[in-house]
Amino acid sequence: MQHNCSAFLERNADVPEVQSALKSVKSLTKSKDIFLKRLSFEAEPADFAKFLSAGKFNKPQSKEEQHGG
Amino acid sequence: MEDEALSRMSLTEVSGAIAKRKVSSLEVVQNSIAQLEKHGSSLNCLARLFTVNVLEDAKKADQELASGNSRGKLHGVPLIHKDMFYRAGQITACGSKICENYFPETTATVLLNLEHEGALDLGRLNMVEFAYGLTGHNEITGDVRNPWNPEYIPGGSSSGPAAAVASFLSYGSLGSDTGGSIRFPASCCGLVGMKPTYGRVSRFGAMPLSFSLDHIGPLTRSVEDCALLTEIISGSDPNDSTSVSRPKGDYLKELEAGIRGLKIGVPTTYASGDSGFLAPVHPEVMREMEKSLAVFQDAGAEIVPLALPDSFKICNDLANIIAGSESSSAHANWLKQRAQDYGSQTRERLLTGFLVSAVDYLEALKLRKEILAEFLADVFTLVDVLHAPVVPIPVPTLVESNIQNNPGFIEYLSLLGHCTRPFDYLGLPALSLPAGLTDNGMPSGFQLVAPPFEESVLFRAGHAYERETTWSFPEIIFQ
Repeated sequence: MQHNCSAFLERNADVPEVQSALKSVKSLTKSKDIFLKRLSFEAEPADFAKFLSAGKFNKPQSKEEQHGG
Repeated sequence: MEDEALSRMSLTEVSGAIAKRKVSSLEVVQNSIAQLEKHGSSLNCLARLFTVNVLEDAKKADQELASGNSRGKLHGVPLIHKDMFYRAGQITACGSKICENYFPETTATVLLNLEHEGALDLGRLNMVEFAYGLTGHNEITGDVRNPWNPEYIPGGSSSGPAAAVASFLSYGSLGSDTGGSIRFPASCCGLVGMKPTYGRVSRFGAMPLSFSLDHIGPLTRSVEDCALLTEIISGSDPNDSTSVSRPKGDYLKELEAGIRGLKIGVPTTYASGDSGFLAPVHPEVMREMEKSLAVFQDAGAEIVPLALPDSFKICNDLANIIAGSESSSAHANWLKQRAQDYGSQTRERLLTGFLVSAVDYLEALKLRKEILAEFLADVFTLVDVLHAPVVPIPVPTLVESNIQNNPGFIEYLSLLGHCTRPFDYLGLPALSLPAGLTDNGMPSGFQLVAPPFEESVLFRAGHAYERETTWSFPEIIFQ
């Protein structure tokens, strides 16, 4: 499906709607590429949901709290 | 029958009045129907009413109460929602021509949760076509108008809910937020809007736009009402694999706890020293942000300037990559078979997704965890909540923000989600609250953002802010 639609868009590259869409997507992907080095080889999209649902987001305890006040 | 005083009650007040039998559910429903039929068309916010069903349900609710039986916190209260929540056997048109005759076979979990507490389903409100847009324009069903001034945008995509709640046509309403679609219209119409943590509220039975970014939440006139609705609709759901199994928050109980000592972060720069995040925000909006921070300071909160991680800069673009791919996937068959039935702006946005490669899409998804971890470490180890604008410019008119008439506005269009969309990407809870008016007499708003599943602190802070400020809604409807 994606392949068919991409081919359709390429054939209609002179249509203003398609031109605008092409411009948008180039701009979006460019900024992402700068940050790609952050990803480990094993990173998975599902890691986000696991991380979010783990719920270990508490602030580090202050020294007073660590020593029982 | 029309009763202005009844319409102007808060959700909490009207549910209390019904529970104490000071007013019947039938009276409240009849008044709501009369108001929506009379005024809904002037704002173009009403999609359809479930008149026959809801009147029967109201009579039943009154009988139950007379027998000493209450279903819950919203017994007999009518609510009307964005036209994207499915109810088996009732049309859900999603603001489109394509779904104008769509009868779903299931009912949304959030509607069942409301029903469980006794709420009645009054009907559906107009929205941006398939929820894909922040201004509120809709080429298919017509533009919804802002009750503060009908020449101005109500914000979208939950345009109908925002207009209806701000003009006292509903006590509250459910919307959805993929790039800001709850908070943005809440800000444009001077309302309170909650985008909960990703996974906090089930999306089952709600029209999907982008399943990695879609959130459901309420728009209301007060923080207390917003807390009540969020509490009721939240919780895990076996029908939505992304919903998280965590205990529900008791948001109302913690509302009065105050904010003395609460640390509120203000993003002044990025870690690199770049002042980019607030740079595009209009000076009039910034002026109202400063005023809202002064209110918090006077109430005992500590304002902490801080730097956002540089990775936060790309959240908007990453969210657009994901939303583009997922929405195009959801619409692929219709785009192939019925492209002419979409509004031109919606069609253009949906086309973008077909140009995103699978690699780009997956990389945008994979970066979420890394960027969230960095954001939590850099921001929420220093402060309890983050303060940020919602709409970066004064609310524009319908004419000036329609790119078909004014192509120059396209530059601003990409900016509109600058402050909201990154928090959809990160999945963080964010509460939109009214700030002051900009020079055009239209509301501005700010949002408070918290760590995952910390909605409670947002409601507590919002309630404290509300107590220190006065906020009047426009009189347009009842003049």
